Amino acid sequence: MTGIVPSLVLDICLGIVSLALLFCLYRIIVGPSAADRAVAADTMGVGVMAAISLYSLRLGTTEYLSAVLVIAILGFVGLVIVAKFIYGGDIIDRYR
Amino acid sequence: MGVILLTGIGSVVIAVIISFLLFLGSIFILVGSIGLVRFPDIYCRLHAATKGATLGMMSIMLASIIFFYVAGLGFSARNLLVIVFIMLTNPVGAHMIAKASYHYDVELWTGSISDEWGGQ
Repeated sequence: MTGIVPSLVLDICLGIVSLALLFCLYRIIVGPSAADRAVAADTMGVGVMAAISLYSLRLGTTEYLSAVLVIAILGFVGLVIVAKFIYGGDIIDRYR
Repeated sequence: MGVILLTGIGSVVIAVIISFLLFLGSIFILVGSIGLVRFPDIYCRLHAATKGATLGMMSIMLASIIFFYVAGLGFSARNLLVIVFIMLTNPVGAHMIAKASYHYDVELWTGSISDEWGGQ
């Protein structure tokens, strides 16, 4: 089951994704504004999803895909909440 | 669903397709992150990061669908759900961040040639 794709391919892809995560971490640390950090965190979430997916391909199991879906949903909700917070200084809209 | 046994040239073709999709996705994610580091202001960074991450994740998920189908684990609908969800939510989040940061007066790059909301 795990012999469909050579594991060297999965290792190289994991290395590339890890490098991408390092770049995102750089932008999280030195980003000038809060929106930069939010975007970098969202991209880092996508990178973590890719890494989990590659690891599940390497193990040959589908059990980790729920974690991928949960990270996708949480990343989107977090990005929207940060955007609302930057826009109005408030997360839940107040009338007047 | 029974195990699909591929032998000989068929397994090589499947391995090449899956490996190509995995490399494509990883390199798209890497290019998006490099754009996130190297572009000058928040709007350019949004452009690079959102497009690269979305396309890369879709490619990796497509490879994952093919892998699990060939491995006899059935059609994994969760991967398809991740593709649809990423495709719907990532541009929405990017637009919200761009609008919020423009509202918050994050400055444009000095080489920007057009600012339609600011009337220039």
